[in-house]
Amino acid sequence: MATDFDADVIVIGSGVMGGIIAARVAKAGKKVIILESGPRVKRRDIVETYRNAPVKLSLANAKLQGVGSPYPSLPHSPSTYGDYLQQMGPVKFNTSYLRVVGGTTWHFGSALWRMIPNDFALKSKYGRGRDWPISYDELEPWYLQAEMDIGVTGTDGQDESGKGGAPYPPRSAPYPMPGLKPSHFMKKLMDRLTPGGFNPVLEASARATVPWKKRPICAGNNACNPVCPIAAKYDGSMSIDEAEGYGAQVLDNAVVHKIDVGDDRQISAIWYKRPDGSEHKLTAARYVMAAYAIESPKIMLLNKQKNAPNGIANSSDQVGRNLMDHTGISMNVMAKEDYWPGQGPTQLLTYVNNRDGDFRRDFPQYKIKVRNTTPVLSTTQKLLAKGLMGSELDAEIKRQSARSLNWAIDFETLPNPNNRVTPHPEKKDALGIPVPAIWYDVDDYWHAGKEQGLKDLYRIAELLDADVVSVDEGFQNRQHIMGTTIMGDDPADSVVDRDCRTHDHKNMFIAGTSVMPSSSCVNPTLTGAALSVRIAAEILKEI
Amino acid sequence: MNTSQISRRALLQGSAAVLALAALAPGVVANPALAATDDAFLKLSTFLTGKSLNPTLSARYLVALAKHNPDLDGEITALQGFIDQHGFADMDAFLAAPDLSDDLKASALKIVSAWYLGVVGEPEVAELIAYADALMYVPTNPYIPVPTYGPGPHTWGPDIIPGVTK
Ligand SMILES: Cc1cc2nc3c(=O)[nH]c(=O)nc-3n(C[C@H](O)[C@H](O)[C@H](O)COP(=O)(O)OP(=O)(O)OC[C@H]3O[C@@H](n4cnc5c(N)ncnc54)[C@H](O)[C@@H]3O)c2cc1C
Repeated sequence: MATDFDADVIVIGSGVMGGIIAARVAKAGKKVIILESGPRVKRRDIVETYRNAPVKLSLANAKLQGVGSPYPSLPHSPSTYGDYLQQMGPVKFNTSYLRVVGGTTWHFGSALWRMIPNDFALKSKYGRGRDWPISYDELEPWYLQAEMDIGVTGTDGQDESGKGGAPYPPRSAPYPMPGLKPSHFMKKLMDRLTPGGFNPVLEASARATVPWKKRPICAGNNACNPVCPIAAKYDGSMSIDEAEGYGAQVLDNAVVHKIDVGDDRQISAIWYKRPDGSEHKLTAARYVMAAYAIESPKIMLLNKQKNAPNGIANSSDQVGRNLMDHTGISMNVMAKEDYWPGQGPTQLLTYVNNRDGDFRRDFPQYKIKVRNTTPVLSTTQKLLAKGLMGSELDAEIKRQSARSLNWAIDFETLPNPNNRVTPHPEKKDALGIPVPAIWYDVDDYWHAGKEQGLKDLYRIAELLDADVVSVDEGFQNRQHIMGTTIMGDDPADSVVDRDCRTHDHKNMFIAGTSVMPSSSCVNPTLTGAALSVRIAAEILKEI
Repeated sequence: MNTSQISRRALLQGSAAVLALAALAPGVVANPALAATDDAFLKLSTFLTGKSLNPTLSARYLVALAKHNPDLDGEITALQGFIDQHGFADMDAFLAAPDLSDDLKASALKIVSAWYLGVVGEPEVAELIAYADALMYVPTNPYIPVPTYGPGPHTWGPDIIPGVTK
C-alpha cells in the first residue's frame, strides 16, 4: 500500500504504546513512520548524568526531581520537570512524563498489573464511575500478548485480588518469565503481616529474570528509577528499536502540532515542527495518537477547524476530561528490628485486600505498597542536618537505613469531567505550542478511601511494632495518567470506541491509558499496552 | 607516580587530572590565597570522619569547599589547632569537649557533610565530588548496594541474609 500516502501508518509518540504498535505493524511489512517530539538518548549518558548529578532523584524524593532528572528537557520538547505543567485546580497533578525516544517508561517502576474483571464493570456492579464497553475476558488474550511484547516477569499462582485465595485473575498462560525472588526484607515483612490478615502480592514487573531478547537478568541495582543501568528493565526504546529493525522510520525532534480533517471527516494530514520552527506535512492511511494522556488531548484540543469545530475527535466534548490518577497517601515508620529495604531491584511488596467487594459502593479499591528503595541518602541528610558526627553518625546511618520503611497507598479515582487537561490560554513552549493546563480535584469517594487506608496503615505499624514517623495525606501524585480520551460505545459521551478508534474520525486511533474508562488501583501501563496490541491487529485487518 | 604525591598546586598547573576535574566542576577557580595544603586537609578530614580516605578525592573536596567557603583556610587552621591542643583520640572525644564552640562544630560538620554526601554546596549550586565513594554508603555497603551498579543477578532473596549477600 502507501502509494497515495507517505506511510501506511503514522504513529505520534515513541513511547511503549506507539512502540508496540509500530513494531507489530512494521513486522507485517507495512510502512510506518514514528514522530517523536524529543531526542534520542543513550543509556550510558543517562547513567553518567545521574551518577554525576549532585541532587539525586528517586520515587521517594519526587519533590526534588526538578533539580535532579538526568533526562534532557529541550525548549522544543520540554520535560515536565520544573514549571512546564500549569496547575489550575485545588489538587496538584505534578506528574513527570518524559519526552525522549522511548518515552516515560525509561524511568517507570515497571510494575505491570492486569485489571480484574469487576474493574471493567464498576457502574453496573457497584453504581460508581463508568463501565467499559469490553470485558476482562475480551481483553485477556491481548494482555497476554502485551506481556510477551514487553517481557513480563511474574509470580504464577497468586490471588492478585488480595483475598489469599485461588489464582486470580484468570490467565490463559503463565507469565512469560518467572517472578523475581522476594528480598529478605519482603520475606520478613510477610512473616509479620500475614498473621494480621494482610495477604501479600508480589507484583509482576518488566525486569528480566532470564535473558530476554537483548536484555540481561536484573542485577539488583536498585536504580530502576531514574534508569536501569544495564537494560534489564523494559523501556519503550526497546520496542522502538524492534520497529526500526522491521523497517519503521523514526523521526526524532519532530513535534506534531497540527492535524487536518477533510470534508469526509477523516484525518487528511498531520504536521510537525522541527526545533528550527520549520513545518512539515505527512499523510497516511491510518494515524495513531500515542503522545500520552496529557500531550495527546492537548494537541487534539488545539486543532479546532471547519470539519472538527470542537477539536480533533471532540464532538462529545470529552477530550481532555475525566483525568484520573491513583492519587495517594504515605506513611514512614521506624521499625525496631532490621529489615534492610534496598536489597535487589526497587520491586514493591503490595497488599490489595481491598481490591474488590461490595465496599466499592462506598469507597474505592486501593493498593498498599512498601518501597524497596535504599533510604541511605535521605537518612544521612536528616542525620547531618541534626549535627550528628563521629561514631554515632555511622551507627545511626546503619540503624535507620535498616529500619525505616516507607508505606504508600494508591487509590482508584473516578472519571470526573471537571478534572481536565486543556491547552494553556497564554503560556507557550519555544515552538509557540501552548503548554498543558491541568485542573484536578479529588471527591468524597476518594476521601472515604483515604479513611479506610489510614486505618490499614496504622494497623500495619502496630503489627510491625514500628513507630510512625510521619503520615502524608497530601494527595500524592502517582504518575498514572488516565481517562482523557475516554472509551465508550456512545459517541455522545466518549472519545474512542471499543477498538480505540475515534468516534469522529474513522482513520484515527488513540493508544494508551487515556482511553481507560475506569482507573482501578493498579499501574495502568499493561492495560494500555494490551489495548495497543489490539489496535495493531485492528489496523492490520484494514490495510 | 603515586597520586598522593601530586600536590594540589601541581594539579592546578595543568595535569590531565585537572582537566577532568574542571570538566566535572565547571567554574572551579583556584584560590591562590588558599594556604591549606592537600596533606593538611587530608589529615584533618581523616580525623573528622574517622576513616582512611582517598587523597585524590580529598584534593577535590578541598578545592570545592574553598570555592564555596571564603574563609576555609581559617576554619581548617582553627579546627586543627583545637584538635592538636587537646590531643583528642578520636571524633567522639572532640564532640565531647566542653569547650567545643558552635563555630568549630559547624566547620567540622561542613567538611564531614561533604565527605558523607559526596556533595559540596547548597542544592542550587551543589557540586558532586563522589557518588559510590560517598562515605554515607560505608556503614550500609555490606547490606545494600549503592544504586546503579549492584551486586549482580541472584544476590538477593528471601533466605539471603543481608550482610552476607556477596
Ligand atoms: C516515575 C514514574 C513511574 C512509573 N511507574 C509505573 C509502573 O511501575 N507501572 C506502570 O504501569 N506505569 C508506570 N508509570 C506510567 C508509565 O510510564 C506510563 O503509563 C507509560 O509511559 C505511558 O506510555 P505512553 O507510550 O502512552 O507514553 P510515553 O511513554 O510518555 O510516550 C509518549 C511519547 O510521545 C511523545 N510526544 C509527546 N508529545 C508529542 C508531540 N506533540 N509530537 C510527537 N511526539 C510527542 C513524548 O515525547 C513521548 O516520548 C510510571 C510513570 C512515571 C513518571
